[in-house]
Amino acid sequence: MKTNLAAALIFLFAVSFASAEEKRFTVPVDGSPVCGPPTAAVTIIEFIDFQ
Amino acid sequence: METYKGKVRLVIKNYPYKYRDYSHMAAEASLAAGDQGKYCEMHDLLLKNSPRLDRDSVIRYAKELGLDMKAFTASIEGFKHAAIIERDKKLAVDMDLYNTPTFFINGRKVIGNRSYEYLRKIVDEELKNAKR
Repeated sequence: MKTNLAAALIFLFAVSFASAEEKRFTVPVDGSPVCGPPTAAVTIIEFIDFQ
Repeated sequence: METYKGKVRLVIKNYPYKYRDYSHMAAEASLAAGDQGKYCEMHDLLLKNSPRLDRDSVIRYAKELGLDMKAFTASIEGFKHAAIIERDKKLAVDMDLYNTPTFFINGRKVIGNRSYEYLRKIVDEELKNAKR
């Protein structure tokens, strides 16, 4: 019984980890400064503190 | 960024910490330079020279970029872009972000002080995906 529970927990952990890795967030970009061409294939949104 | 010229677009959100001396001023300085068409140049200068971001330093960078100093100084002293900075901070809090820098590379979240190599790996993966 205990082994089953442990296996289930490991499984759940693995699943959540894998889906977290694949998750893509949508961040609103209107009104924020942009560097680089609008046609770029990759958009990096950075939250920064200059200091 | 140089390596990826033309392939990568950077969008900047300000997330200055409350308790650091010059975080807010640096954010104001970047946006003030943006008003004069030099945002990206100032962004790079601030990051390169961080943490030397006191008032005199920031003014020196603005001069280096050939900015109109009267407009620039009025802007940083008047906190002209406070609303944008507050909006960005609220967004960060709403998204449960607690670290800087935090990156979203085509929406994929990369937190904090990851190595340059790791960031490159994600960007390269995304460039490869885009080509398909």
